[in-house]
Amino acid sequence: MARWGMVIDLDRCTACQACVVACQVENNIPPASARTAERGRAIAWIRLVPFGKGEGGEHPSLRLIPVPCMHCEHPPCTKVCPVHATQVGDDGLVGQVYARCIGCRYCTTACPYTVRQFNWDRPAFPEPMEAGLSPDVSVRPRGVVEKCSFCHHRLQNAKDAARAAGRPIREGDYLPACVESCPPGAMAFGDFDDPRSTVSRLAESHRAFKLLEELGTHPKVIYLSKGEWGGES
Amino acid sequence: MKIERRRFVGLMLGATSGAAVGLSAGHLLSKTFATADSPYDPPGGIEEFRLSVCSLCPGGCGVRVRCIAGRPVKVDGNPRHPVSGGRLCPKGQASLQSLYHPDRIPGPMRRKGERGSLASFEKKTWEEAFVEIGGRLRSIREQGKPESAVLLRAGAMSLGSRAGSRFLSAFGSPNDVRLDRGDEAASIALRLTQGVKSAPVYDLPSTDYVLSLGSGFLEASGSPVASARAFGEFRQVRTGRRGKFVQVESRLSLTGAAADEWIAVHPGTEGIFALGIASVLVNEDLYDRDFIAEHAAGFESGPTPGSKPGLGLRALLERDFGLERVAAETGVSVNVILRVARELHAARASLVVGPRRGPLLPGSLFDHLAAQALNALVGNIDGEGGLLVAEETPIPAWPELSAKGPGAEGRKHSRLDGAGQNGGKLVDSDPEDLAGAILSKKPYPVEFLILHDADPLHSSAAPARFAKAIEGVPFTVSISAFPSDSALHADWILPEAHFLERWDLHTTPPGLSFPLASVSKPVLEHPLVDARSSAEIFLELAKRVGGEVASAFPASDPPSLIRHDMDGIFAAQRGAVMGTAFDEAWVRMMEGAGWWAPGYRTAEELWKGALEFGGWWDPFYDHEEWARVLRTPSGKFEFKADLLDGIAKERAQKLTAENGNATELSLVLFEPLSVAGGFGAELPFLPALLDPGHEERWESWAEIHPETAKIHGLRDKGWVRISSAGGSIVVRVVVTWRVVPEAVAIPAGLGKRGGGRWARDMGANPFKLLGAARDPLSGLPDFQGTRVRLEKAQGPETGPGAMAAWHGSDSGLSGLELQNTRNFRS
Repeated sequence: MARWGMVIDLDRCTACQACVVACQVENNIPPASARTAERGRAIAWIRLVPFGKGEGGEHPSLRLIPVPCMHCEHPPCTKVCPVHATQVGDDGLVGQVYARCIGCRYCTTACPYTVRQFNWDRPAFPEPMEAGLSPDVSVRPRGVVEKCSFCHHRLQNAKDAARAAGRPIREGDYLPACVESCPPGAMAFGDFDDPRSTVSRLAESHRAFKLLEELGTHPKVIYLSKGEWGGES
Repeated sequence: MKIERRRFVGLMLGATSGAAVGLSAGHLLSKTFATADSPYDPPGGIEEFRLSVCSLCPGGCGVRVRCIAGRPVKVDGNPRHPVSGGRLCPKGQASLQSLYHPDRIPGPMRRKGERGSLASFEKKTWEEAFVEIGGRLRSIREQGKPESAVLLRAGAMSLGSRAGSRFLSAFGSPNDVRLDRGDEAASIALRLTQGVKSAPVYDLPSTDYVLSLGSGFLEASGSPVASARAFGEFRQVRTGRRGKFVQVESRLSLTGAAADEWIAVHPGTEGIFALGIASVLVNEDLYDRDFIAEHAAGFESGPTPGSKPGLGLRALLERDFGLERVAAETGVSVNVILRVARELHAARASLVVGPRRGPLLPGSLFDHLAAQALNALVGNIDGEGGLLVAEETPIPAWPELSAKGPGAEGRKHSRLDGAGQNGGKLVDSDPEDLAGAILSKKPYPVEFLILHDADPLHSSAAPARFAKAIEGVPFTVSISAFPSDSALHADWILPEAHFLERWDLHTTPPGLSFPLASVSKPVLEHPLVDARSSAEIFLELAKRVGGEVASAFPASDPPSLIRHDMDGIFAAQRGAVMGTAFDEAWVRMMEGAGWWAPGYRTAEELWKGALEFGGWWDPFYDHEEWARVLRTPSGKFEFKADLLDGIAKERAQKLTAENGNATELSLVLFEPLSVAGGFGAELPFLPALLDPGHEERWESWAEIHPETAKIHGLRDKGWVRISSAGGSIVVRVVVTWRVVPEAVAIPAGLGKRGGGRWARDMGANPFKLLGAARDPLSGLPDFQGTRVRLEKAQGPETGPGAMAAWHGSDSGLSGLELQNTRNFRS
């Protein structure tokens, strides 16, 4: 069984946010408005989190880190769900079953990366935007929690295609929308259980680090960066 | 009654908590879950992938569109396309929102009431539009004043853009004016120093060291995806090598955030910093002596072959750009200048990138000339990892225009904007002077104005002047997909078909070295609204005018026109159909050895291949082809030290005058990628992306240094009125160390009064602050020299931002999220 994960090279990332929009389009996220954005209710499954450094110091810098769901191996969110709406699936992906979710939001509180989001509003796609919806992903109703799925539907499609071709699934068959779109090629995706995969090789880099590793969540998103963020610190 | 599981559990939970905290809370909670189900159930269907070219910016990315039952549902890069390489920027990703936008212009609209509101327009048929517009054009021509027609355009190098230019010159007018001039200052610098008329190409993937003089090349370059891909390659850890990137600017941009080092300089002194580096290189003998000796002129003072005797660069640097002086003027320490100069020299290949900030912000010519001088000193002109010169796509000329008749007579008139060499200006277009000429009716009045994709009421340096000017034009036609500010002031709005709804041919975007022609055919068989491509519109107008105007095109419909151009490319006998990385390497190798191995034998095969894979290109670049890249009178790279000297003196005078007024700050403008070029706020995924460095979304803001904020009594998230000699705007305050104390930074791209439900009244337009001042020598609007005053304001003047009364009080999850995320590494 594969262990899907992502590596994001912050030295290559230009903070263009193509990943953010690619994800929103792929996953049928409704367009926000100024009002919802102002209230912090606009939904994005991956977003860029700023880390400023050296305010007033000699070498100030700004780091912008793309944060999707970490698909932790020990996710704090699944443990608190009272209705088993979120679980670790066979492929190691942390899934969310919208039909089971009761919207209690325990999981949004439990997630240390705050990547889980609650649907405060009914989804609305003003005519004719509905025509652009993808049939692969259900539109979430109001009152449920959603989050990055690593484009799980793409994994299903890739598995089907591989099965039809009578071969095992290969590297590159399955990429989430954000990884596919990334202009500078800062994101890599693959199977951490395969020692020859690109992500496995990158994860061995001295520049590699994980977010909030000390919590014991074992995130499957690994970052690469030189200097103060990476292994050199 | 059917009770669904979610509702049941919700009710139970509501009841339990209701019992605990009181019934009203329980009632509220259960109400929340009662209406939970989604009304959307997207239907499935056959999946297909079709190719096209994104034209939301001039970048020209080849895209691959995923269609379900014929409906486009996702746009990604076309993996074979040399610009996008299978990648796409956020704007391209959001492009389906422009296709399915609820506020697209539904069909041709004729204004019957007041300007400025869509309610004043009524829907007409295309035939009615062509009868009236064609009739108007014919009568202008019959009266013998075709020069009074003006075309103001912006956007991609598309078929429609070429058809518009062609239509106008065949009609008999010289007034073909471009509104977006992001590449203009860099092009002029290249023309002065290398005699080449095109935007510079930076060979980022092969360089080792990048010194950027305030460039926004990672946010809003001519082709953002191509730049980002090049940056990715530059950053790739190759054996023992990883490019270093230093950004010099007075406001830490997102490009700067991606750099290894930010050198903060006083506003507008990036060029002086560059000349300081140049003076270290010359003093310490670290420059490329061979290149200077063989291929450069004007390094030493005195007469040079082919040009007038004058000041040499060495003498200028010694006299005016000594280290101490540069350090004092830029605010950068001598040590840093010395270190950067030595790093620049020590790198195997180093590159200095000029200060182009975005599609509307070209940067000052002085800074671009300084960047050019540095590039020549380090000897990277046309070398690998250096500064290259683009090759044009070998598109065949369209039929020659008649040298006689009303068309030829009309073209002989001087341009209304006085641009170009005949007008004695270095710029090719001067829309602000065009507005002036329209108002003054001199040298002749304007009878007919076509706005093609151009929104001068928002995106020019003189929005107010254009608003007045457009009222003085008897007849204005706007070709626009959206009710832009300018379209709402026109007499006719002709909706342009979306790029997924039309035939198109895109040539090389600015900033890329290789010639290319991307062919796209409609992804959707019928446009979703009653729209037509601009190429179709111009072809039809040409037919209605008739005679030599109609025969100025080699074909009468867009696909035949594209086929004609592709046949010409076949005849050029070079390049190949867009292919895989292996194909690319193969073509490069073969052409390098003097062979042509295109993989097609006939024009028909090229056409089929181009339609199937996205187009044609020629990846081979011949370095150090001096006759092509150095086309000055002397045949050498010219330093133009006398011009640098002249501008420096003019700027010094201005600075002395300004220093008297210490309460004023320098205005620094920038263009966030998602709204660059004046388009993007229309699409609701994009206003959330303006700058991930802080929380401001869906509104304009001013970045102000903490010290400056204190002096002016401004607090973070409060409001500030920013005023200049040109006008004033009210924006949100962001107190940040990302900007130096002497400057205030504001994003351009918002502040529209039109543009549909999302863009309307969002934020403010900082172009209103620009005065009539011009950048010395280039004659471009002075986008970087405006001085502004700050004053505390109570709230925004218009728009959704007016809800600010409760800002911060009901931030829901966001406050918690931000707090959490900020503690990641603390």
